Amino acid sequence: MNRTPFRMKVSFDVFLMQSIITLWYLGILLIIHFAPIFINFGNKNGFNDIYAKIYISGNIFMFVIGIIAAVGILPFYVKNGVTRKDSYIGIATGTMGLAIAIPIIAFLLNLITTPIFNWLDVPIKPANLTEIAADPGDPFFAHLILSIVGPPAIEGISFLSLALFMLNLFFYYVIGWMIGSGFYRSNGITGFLYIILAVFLFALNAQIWGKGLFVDLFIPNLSAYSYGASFAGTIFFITIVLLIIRLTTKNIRIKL
Amino acid sequence: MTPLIDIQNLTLNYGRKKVLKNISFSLDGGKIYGLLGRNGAGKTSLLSLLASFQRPKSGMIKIHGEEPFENARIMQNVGLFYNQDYAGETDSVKEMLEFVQRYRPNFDIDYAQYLVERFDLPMKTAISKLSTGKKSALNATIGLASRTPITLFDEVYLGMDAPSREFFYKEIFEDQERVPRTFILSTHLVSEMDYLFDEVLIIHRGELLLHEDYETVISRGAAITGEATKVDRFTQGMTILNEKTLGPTKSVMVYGQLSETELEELRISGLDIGPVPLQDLFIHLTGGGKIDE
Repeated sequence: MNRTPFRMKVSFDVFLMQSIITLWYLGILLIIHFAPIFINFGNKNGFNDIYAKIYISGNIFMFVIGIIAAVGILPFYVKNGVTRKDSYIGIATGTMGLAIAIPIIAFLLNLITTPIFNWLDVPIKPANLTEIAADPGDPFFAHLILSIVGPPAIEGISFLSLALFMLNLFFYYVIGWMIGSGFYRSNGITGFLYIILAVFLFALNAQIWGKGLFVDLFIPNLSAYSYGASFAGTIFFITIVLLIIRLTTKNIRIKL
Repeated sequence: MTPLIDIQNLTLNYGRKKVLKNISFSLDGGKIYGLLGRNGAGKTSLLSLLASFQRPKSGMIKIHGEEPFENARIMQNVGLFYNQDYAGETDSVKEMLEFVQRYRPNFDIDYAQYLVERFDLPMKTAISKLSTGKKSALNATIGLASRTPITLFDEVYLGMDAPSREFFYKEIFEDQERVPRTFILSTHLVSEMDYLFDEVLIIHRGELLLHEDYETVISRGAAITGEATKVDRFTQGMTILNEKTLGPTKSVMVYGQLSETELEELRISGLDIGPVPLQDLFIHLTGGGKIDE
């Protein structure tokens, strides 16, 4: 029985498969983006540019397809004779490719669409993504929800902010993948523990980027010292989540 | 010589429920094996362990002398094909076949195309929209065309109509001759498939009841046919599996091998002796007509 190496094939296929879903998502987002041209929403302050729209909603999109990866993609590959390890590596690397591609596409779409809006005299404004945060006086849950839906951001569009965009997308994906894996393996209460862990990691990640719940409590706002430290922090959290996924799926029983 | 599949003291629990209890057997391979058992006997669990869908809790499975779980070389050559539901599957039959081709090294796309035509499968329809019978036909197509050296079919025919099932059985038989490999066919539709089996394994309530070649299994019983009174007299005190009467003629199926004296007695009485269908033996060995919980 000879062996054919599969992980690169899985990586490519996962990238392709998720890219097709991403094209649907981006297509729908573009329709929403262009709606003000045809419908007067009476918004005189201007609409967020497409980059900001993808920056915010892209994370939730990645979170959802991460869950799908756990309950759909990994079992599907194992059923077709691919080891859990090869499937895991293939999914992780294929998704890295997607997380790199989406911000570049968002940047290019922004370059193309903003002049069109300007030409049509539809007010469009580059969103300040760093402003999406709860006020210190807001209730705990407002902080919590905004630490999840409002991803860390760096002002403007630069190489650094694009890198953070990519990192955010991958972070949200692996969190979704972890939750999905937890529920696929255990169902019920144990699965719920993965959600609690995910919320905790979201909060910690928000904290190191200065958007946290526990201001200066036990993890500092690393971005106040250096962006490099915050990047390292998020990469550390991603590594932890990837380890948890591997431990969860290493011997996982594939359901028929 | 190392057996193709070697299973020793295999046990599997789901929580407190013991699904497989200390099962041991080995298969030389290159044959068609019938894996028989009633509902919930543990057939699917056994096959899912062979296909590395799960890891055994205790005991040992070896394929080609190696543990199959997470063994890439083994896993890509073992295929478990079952009555997959495909709920929400938007891919078409064509896309699915192309996908499987990428991951099964022996996949034969021309043979798949032939099977698709014979099963009358629509290539461009989303799989989730196919009827139950067509989904079963797709599972059978993937299973046959993958040509995995160890092919496990777990009641894949469920939902197929009679002509499709007949065609499927015929293809297993003929394709095994064309491309010799090991088939393990799990079923409880014994009467339809028994002619395919080279060897038979029967599991009951998680235990291996029997592993013998087909001829040996069916020689465990005999069908005695002739004049009703003579048949009744001869079979008195024997374990009767089944009996049929047509006018003055009666046919009784008995369990157990007949002795030389009994065979001589049969010849003198002018009674005929024939084989017992595997299905009747299976029903008898797995508890008669008693309905399992």
